[in-house]
Amino acid sequence: MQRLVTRYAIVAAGLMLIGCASRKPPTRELESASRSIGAAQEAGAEEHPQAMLHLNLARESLTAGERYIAEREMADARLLLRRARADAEMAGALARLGNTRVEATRIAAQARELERQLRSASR
Amino acid sequence: MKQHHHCITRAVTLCLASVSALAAFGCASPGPTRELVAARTTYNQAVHGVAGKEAPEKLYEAKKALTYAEWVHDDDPGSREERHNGYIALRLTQAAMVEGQARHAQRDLVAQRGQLESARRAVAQMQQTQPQTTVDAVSLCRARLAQLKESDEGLTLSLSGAVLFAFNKATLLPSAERVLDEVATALKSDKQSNRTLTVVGHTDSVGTDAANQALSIARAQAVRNFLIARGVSANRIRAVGRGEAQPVAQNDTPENRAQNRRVEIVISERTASR
Repeated sequence: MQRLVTRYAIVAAGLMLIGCASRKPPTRELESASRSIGAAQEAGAEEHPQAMLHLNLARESLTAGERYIAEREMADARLLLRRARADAEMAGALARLGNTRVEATRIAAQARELERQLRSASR
Repeated sequence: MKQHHHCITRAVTLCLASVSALAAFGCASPGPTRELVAARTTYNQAVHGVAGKEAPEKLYEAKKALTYAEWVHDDDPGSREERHNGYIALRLTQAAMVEGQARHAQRDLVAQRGQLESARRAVAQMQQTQPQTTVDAVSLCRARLAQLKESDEGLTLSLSGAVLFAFNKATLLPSAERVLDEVATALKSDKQSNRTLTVVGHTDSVGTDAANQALSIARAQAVRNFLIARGVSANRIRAVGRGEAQPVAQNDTPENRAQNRRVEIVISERTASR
């Protein structure tokens, strides 16, 4: 009898250990997602359509993740927060790419203006 | 969906599956989710692209996410968790690729900005060394008092003989002084004031060679004296007569002959410093 109790206690403890991880609120993932979303905003994601798309996806996933935390569904929350961060990283990268393109256009326009000056100076 | 409930459900499923293990399906597990497949394909592309060089830390993150997604697939194939992790790995891989492109483009921009800056400096320099004579000679031409030609010798200012001298005379007319004043100003303000000036007198073919030669040198000297009196440095300027030897038009009509009767001022590229 004692051995049976011990065996089930061990199994129960094991199950609790598996369950433990999924009961802790995913604060690290929450912080990480929020930070990435902030960085994407600062990089100007809202000014580039593709970046904006991913920023919105990130925000939606963050909101859903927070809801899951409130409902104590920690495993699902963790998944969604990691999704939020991934979309935010995409948004940030797209914003940075968009910015370099804008700057390249500006430099090209300046070069054309300079060419025009050169041509009129050599007449 | 609670993890331990899921485990128990799975255990039950496995039991049933093992009972029907000898059935036609064997032990085939569900294939990878669309998301995981996309993540694998995209990662393989990323490794061969610019992400590895420009954004290695981002690519490494994506690799970790893909590795984890594969583990989830092994543990629980076709599951919702695999789907989510596949999505995460896919996005992080794409983010690494885009980041690589952005950093690569940024380095190009730095180079372009540098080129633009040095081009700007070159243009500014060019605008400063623009010769003054060209500008003033142009205004003279606009007043239709002179013609400007460029040749191997340099710049040639051609002044009509009728404006400068009375017929067959070598004395400057009063109207000549206005024109020659402008010429003198232009020549004096030439930034490269070491350039030699040659006043060349020409005539038409009417009369003897000797008479035309004498007239042409006398006229050239008259112009030279005037310019020196107006401040052009004497050792830069010399006077030459070419008579009827270098016509610019056939001496057949009065208009053409008038064209030949001229004084030219050649602004040479050579310097007077010898």
